[in-house]
Amino acid sequence: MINFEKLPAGQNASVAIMSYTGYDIEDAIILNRASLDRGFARASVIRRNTSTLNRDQSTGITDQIQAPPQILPHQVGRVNPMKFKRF
Amino acid sequence: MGPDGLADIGRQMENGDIFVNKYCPVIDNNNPIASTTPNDVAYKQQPDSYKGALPAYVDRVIITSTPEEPYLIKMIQRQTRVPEVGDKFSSRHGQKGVVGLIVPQEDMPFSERSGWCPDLVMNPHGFPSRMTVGKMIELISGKAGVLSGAFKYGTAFAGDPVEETGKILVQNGFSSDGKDLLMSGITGEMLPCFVFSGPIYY
Repeated sequence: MINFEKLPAGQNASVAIMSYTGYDIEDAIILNRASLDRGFARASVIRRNTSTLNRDQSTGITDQIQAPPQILPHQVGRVNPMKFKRF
Repeated sequence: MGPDGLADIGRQMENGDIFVNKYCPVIDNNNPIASTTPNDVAYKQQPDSYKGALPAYVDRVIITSTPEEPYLIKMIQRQTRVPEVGDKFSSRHGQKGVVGLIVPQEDMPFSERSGWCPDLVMNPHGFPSRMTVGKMIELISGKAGVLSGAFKYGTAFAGDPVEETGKILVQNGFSSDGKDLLMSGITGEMLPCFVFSGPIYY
Protein backbone atom coordinates (compact mmCIF):
# COMPACT_ATOMS: atom_id res chain seq x y z
CA MET A 1 0.00 0.00 0.00
CA ILE A 2 2.79 2.42 0.88
CA ASN A 3 5.53 0.26 -0.66
CA PHE A 4 6.98 -0.28 2.79
CA GLU A 5 7.94 -3.79 1.78
CA LYS A 6 10.36 -2.32 -0.76
CA LEU A 7 12.25 -0.30 1.85
CA PRO A 8 15.15 -2.32 3.18
CA ALA A 9 15.68 -1.63 6.85
CA GLY A 10 16.58 -4.95 8.35
CA GLN A 11 17.48 -8.55 7.80
CA ASN A 12 15.57 -11.77 7.58
CA ALA A 13 16.27 -13.52 10.85
CA SER A 14 15.76 -17.21 11.38
CA VAL A 15 13.54 -17.20 14.42
CA ALA A 16 12.51 -19.97 16.77
CA ILE A 17 9.44 -19.11 18.82
CA MET A 18 10.25 -20.95 22.04
CA SER A 19 11.34 -20.57 25.60
CA TYR A 20 15.02 -21.32 25.91
CA THR A 21 17.19 -20.92 29.03
CA GLY A 22 14.62 -18.48 30.42
CA TYR A 23 16.63 -15.47 29.22
CA ASP A 24 13.89 -14.70 26.70
CA ILE A 25 11.05 -14.07 29.13
CA GLU A 26 9.29 -10.71 29.22
CA ASP A 27 9.92 -9.82 25.57
CA ALA A 28 13.64 -10.49 25.77
CA ILE A 29 15.32 -12.21 22.84
CA ILE A 30 18.31 -14.53 22.60
CA LEU A 31 20.84 -14.02 19.84
CA ASN A 32 23.15 -16.50 18.21
CA ARG A 33 26.80 -15.55 18.69
CA ALA A 34 27.81 -17.15 15.40
CA SER A 35 25.15 -15.14 13.55
CA LEU A 36 26.54 -11.95 15.02
CA ASP A 37 30.04 -12.97 13.96
CA ARG A 38 28.70 -13.43 10.43
CA GLY A 39 27.50 -9.83 10.45
CA PHE A 40 23.92 -10.23 11.57
CA ALA A 41 22.14 -7.20 13.06
CA ARG A 42 25.05 -4.81 12.64
CA ALA A 43 24.21 -1.17 13.33
CA SER A 44 25.86 1.97 11.98
CA VAL A 45 26.05 5.01 14.21
CA ILE A 46 26.66 8.45 12.69
CA ARG A 47 27.62 11.19 15.08
CA ARG A 48 28.45 14.83 14.53
CA ASN A 49 31.12 16.75 16.37
CA THR A 50 31.12 20.52 16.06
CA SER A 51 34.28 22.53 16.65
CA THR A 52 34.22 26.29 16.74
CA LEU A 53 37.03 28.78 16.30
CA ASN A 54 36.40 31.66 18.65
CA ARG A 55 37.35 35.20 17.75
CA ASP A 56 38.01 37.97 20.24
CA GLN A 57 36.03 40.98 19.13
CA SER A 58 38.36 43.68 20.51
CA THR A 59 41.71 42.38 19.27
CA GLY A 60 40.66 40.14 16.41
CA ILE A 61 42.69 37.23 17.78
CA THR A 62 41.20 33.92 16.71
CA ASP A 63 41.77 30.30 17.55
CA GLN A 64 43.96 28.54 15.03
CA ILE A 65 44.13 25.17 13.42
CA GLN A 66 47.66 24.06 12.79
CA ALA A 67 49.18 21.32 10.72
CA PRO A 68 50.39 18.25 12.59
CA PRO A 69 54.14 17.93 13.13
CA GLN A 70 56.05 16.48 10.24
CA ILE A 71 56.75 12.81 10.63
CA LEU A 72 60.37 12.24 9.70
CA PRO A 73 61.27 9.15 7.67
CA HIS A 74 62.80 7.37 10.66
CA GLN A 75 59.62 7.96 12.69
CA VAL A 76 57.25 6.33 10.23
CA GLY A 77 55.49 3.44 11.93
CA ARG A 78 56.69 4.50 15.36
CA VAL A 79 54.77 7.73 15.76
CA ASN A 80 50.99 7.75 15.65
CA PRO A 81 50.09 10.72 13.48
CA MET A 82 46.77 11.03 15.30
CA LYS A 83 48.22 11.28 18.81
CA PHE A 84 50.79 14.02 19.21
CA LYS A 85 51.46 16.64 21.79
CA ARG A 86 52.29 20.24 21.09
CA PHE A 87 55.54 20.77 19.33
CA MET B 1 45.79 13.88 9.81
CA GLY B 2 46.06 16.10 6.82
CA PRO B 3 48.23 19.23 6.50
CA ASP B 4 45.14 21.35 7.23
CA GLY B 5 45.10 20.11 10.83
CA LEU B 6 41.90 18.12 10.33
CA ALA B 7 41.55 14.37 10.24
CA ASP B 8 41.38 12.97 6.71
CA ILE B 9 38.16 11.43 5.46
CA GLY B 10 38.18 7.71 6.04
CA ARG B 11 40.72 7.93 8.84
CA GLN B 12 40.20 5.48 11.69
CA MET B 13 40.06 7.20 15.05
CA GLU B 14 40.81 5.42 18.30
CA ASN B 15 40.35 6.73 21.81
CA GLY B 16 42.44 9.87 22.28
CA ASP B 17 43.11 10.52 18.61
CA ILE B 18 43.09 14.17 17.64
CA PHE B 19 40.79 15.10 14.81
CA VAL B 20 40.87 18.91 15.02
CA ASN B 21 44.32 20.25 15.89
CA LYS B 22 43.11 23.48 17.47
CA TYR B 23 45.25 26.10 19.18
CA CYS B 24 43.82 28.76 21.49
CA PRO B 25 45.49 32.05 22.44
CA VAL B 26 46.83 32.17 25.99
CA ILE B 27 44.98 34.89 27.84
CA ASP B 28 45.83 35.13 31.54
CA ASN B 29 47.15 37.63 34.06
CA ASN B 30 50.57 37.67 32.42
CA ASN B 31 49.08 38.13 28.97
CA PRO B 32 45.94 40.21 29.42
CA ILE B 33 43.74 40.47 26.41
CA ALA B 34 44.25 44.23 26.14
CA SER B 35 48.02 44.00 25.75
CA THR B 36 48.04 41.27 23.13
CA THR B 37 48.08 41.89 19.44
CA PRO B 38 47.64 39.27 16.76
CA ASN B 39 51.38 39.23 16.17
CA ASP B 40 52.79 38.43 19.61
CA VAL B 41 50.11 36.22 21.18
CA ALA B 42 51.10 32.83 22.54
CA TYR B 43 49.04 29.78 21.61
CA LYS B 44 48.52 26.54 23.42
CA GLN B 45 47.22 23.29 21.94
CA GLN B 46 43.58 22.61 22.68
CA PRO B 47 42.70 19.81 20.28
CA ASP B 48 39.39 18.04 19.86
CA SER B 49 40.06 14.36 20.36
CA TYR B 50 37.92 11.29 19.88
CA LYS B 51 36.57 9.54 22.95
CA GLY B 52 35.13 6.07 22.78
CA ALA B 53 36.04 2.47 23.38
CA LEU B 54 35.41 1.38 19.80
CA PRO B 55 37.10 3.07 16.84
CA ALA B 56 35.15 5.36 14.56
CA TYR B 57 35.83 6.63 11.06
CA VAL B 58 35.75 10.13 9.68
CA ASP B 59 32.82 10.13 7.30
CA ARG B 60 32.60 13.75 6.22
CA VAL B 61 34.20 17.05 7.17
CA ILE B 62 32.09 20.18 6.81
CA ILE B 63 33.66 23.62 7.14
CA THR B 64 30.99 26.28 7.32
CA SER B 65 29.92 29.41 9.15
CA THR B 66 26.81 30.86 10.67
CA PRO B 67 25.95 34.43 11.66
CA GLU B 68 26.88 33.52 15.26
CA GLU B 69 29.96 31.42 14.57
CA PRO B 70 32.38 32.75 11.96
CA TYR B 71 34.13 29.39 11.59
CA LEU B 72 32.52 26.03 12.23
CA ILE B 73 34.04 22.60 11.65
CA LYS B 74 31.61 19.73 11.67
CA MET B 75 33.15 16.29 11.74
CA ILE B 76 30.74 13.49 10.90
CA GLN B 77 31.95 10.28 12.51
CA ARG B 78 30.79 6.83 11.54
CA GLN B 79 30.92 3.73 13.71
CA THR B 80 29.71 0.16 13.30
CA ARG B 81 28.34 -1.46 16.40
CA VAL B 82 28.01 -5.13 17.20
CA PRO B 83 24.82 -6.05 19.05
CA GLU B 84 25.30 -6.63 22.75
CA VAL B 85 23.12 -7.52 25.71
CA GLY B 86 20.60 -4.74 26.29
CA ASP B 87 20.23 -3.68 22.65
CA LYS B 88 16.68 -3.57 21.41
CA PHE B 89 15.47 -5.20 18.22
CA SER B 90 12.09 -5.07 16.65
CA SER B 91 10.27 -6.84 13.90
CA ARG B 92 7.90 -4.95 11.64
CA HIS B 93 4.96 -5.89 13.80
CA GLY B 94 6.06 -3.69 16.68
CA GLN B 95 7.21 -6.76 18.58
CA LYS B 96 10.28 -5.24 20.15
CA GLY B 97 12.58 -7.12 22.43
CA VAL B 98 15.73 -6.54 24.39
CA VAL B 99 18.67 -8.89 23.94
CA GLY B 100 18.76 -10.93 27.12
CA LEU B 101 21.49 -13.37 26.23
CA ILE B 102 23.94 -14.08 23.43
CA VAL B 103 24.70 -17.78 23.26
CA PRO B 104 27.23 -19.61 21.11
CA GLN B 105 25.79 -21.47 18.18
CA GLU B 106 26.56 -24.87 19.72
CA ASP B 107 24.11 -24.12 22.55
CA MET B 108 21.35 -23.03 20.19
CA PRO B 109 18.64 -25.53 19.36
CA PHE B 110 18.97 -27.03 15.90
CA SER B 111 17.06 -29.11 13.45
CA GLU B 112 18.60 -32.51 13.00
CA ARG B 113 16.81 -32.90 9.70
CA SER B 114 17.94 -29.77 7.89
CA GLY B 115 20.78 -28.48 10.07
CA TRP B 116 18.83 -25.30 10.64
CA CYS B 117 19.75 -23.16 13.63
CA PRO B 118 18.03 -19.95 14.74
CA ASP B 119 19.64 -16.53 14.65
CA LEU B 120 17.20 -15.37 17.26
CA VAL B 121 14.96 -16.98 19.86
CA MET B 122 11.78 -15.23 20.87
CA ASN B 123 9.43 -16.14 23.68
CA PRO B 124 5.91 -17.30 22.67
CA HIS B 125 4.33 -15.34 25.54
CA GLY B 126 4.54 -12.19 23.46
CA PHE B 127 1.90 -13.42 21.04
CA PRO B 128 -1.43 -14.01 22.84
CA SER B 129 -1.87 -10.56 24.35
CA ARG B 130 -0.41 -8.61 21.40
CA MET B 131 -2.35 -10.64 18.84
CA THR B 132 0.30 -10.06 16.16
CA VAL B 133 -1.14 -12.65 13.84
CA GLY B 134 0.71 -11.06 10.96
CA LYS B 135 4.02 -12.06 12.45
CA MET B 136 3.02 -15.71 12.56
CA ILE B 137 1.72 -15.54 9.00
CA GLU B 138 4.95 -13.82 7.97
CA LEU B 139 6.87 -16.70 9.51
CA ILE B 140 4.89 -19.39 7.72
CA SER B 141 4.75 -17.64 4.35
CA GLY B 142 8.39 -16.62 4.65
CA LYS B 143 9.36 -20.19 5.27
CA ALA B 144 7.28 -21.35 2.30
CA GLY B 145 8.83 -18.63 0.16
CA VAL B 146 12.34 -19.68 1.14
CA LEU B 147 11.62 -23.32 0.38
CA SER B 148 9.90 -22.70 -2.95
CA GLY B 149 12.12 -19.84 -4.08
CA ALA B 150 9.22 -17.45 -4.61
CA PHE B 151 8.01 -14.21 -3.07
CA LYS B 152 5.06 -14.56 -0.74
CA TYR B 153 2.85 -11.97 0.86
CA GLY B 154 3.09 -12.59 4.58
CA THR B 155 0.44 -10.21 5.80
CA ALA B 156 -2.65 -10.72 7.89
CA PHE B 157 -4.60 -8.69 5.34
CA ALA B 158 -5.43 -10.92 2.38
CA GLY B 159 -1.94 -12.09 1.60
CA ASP B 160 -1.11 -15.64 0.64
CA PRO B 161 -3.51 -17.93 2.52
CA VAL B 162 -1.95 -20.00 5.27
CA GLU B 163 -3.59 -23.11 3.80
CA GLU B 164 -1.66 -22.70 0.54
CA THR B 165 1.67 -21.82 2.15
CA GLY B 166 1.19 -24.79 4.47
CA LYS B 167 0.87 -27.04 1.43
CA ILE B 168 4.22 -25.74 0.13
CA LEU B 169 5.78 -26.56 3.49
CA VAL B 170 4.43 -30.11 3.33
CA GLN B 171 5.71 -30.51 -0.24
CA ASN B 172 9.17 -29.63 1.03
CA GLY B 173 8.99 -32.02 3.94
CA PHE B 174 8.08 -29.59 6.69
CA SER B 175 5.05 -29.52 8.91
CA SER B 176 2.16 -27.50 7.49
CA ASP B 177 1.80 -25.39 10.64
CA GLY B 178 5.43 -24.29 10.60
CA LYS B 179 6.39 -26.26 13.66
CA ASP B 180 9.54 -28.34 13.51
CA LEU B 181 11.20 -30.88 15.71
CA LEU B 182 14.32 -29.33 17.19
CA MET B 183 17.14 -30.80 19.24
CA SER B 184 18.42 -29.03 22.31
CA GLY B 185 21.86 -27.58 21.74
CA ILE B 186 22.72 -27.94 25.41
CA THR B 187 21.73 -31.56 26.08
CA GLY B 188 21.59 -32.85 22.52
CA GLU B 189 18.23 -34.42 23.25
CA MET B 190 15.01 -33.92 21.39
CA LEU B 191 12.96 -30.97 22.63
CA PRO B 192 9.68 -32.27 24.07
CA CYS B 193 7.62 -30.04 21.79
CA PHE B 194 7.54 -28.85 18.20
CA VAL B 195 8.97 -25.37 17.77
CA PHE B 196 7.38 -22.73 15.55
CA SER B 197 10.33 -21.55 13.52
CA GLY B 198 11.09 -19.71 10.31
CA PRO B 199 12.30 -16.40 8.90
CA ILE B 200 11.02 -13.10 10.26
CA TYR B 201 12.19 -9.70 9.10
CA TYR B 202 13.90 -7.86 11.97
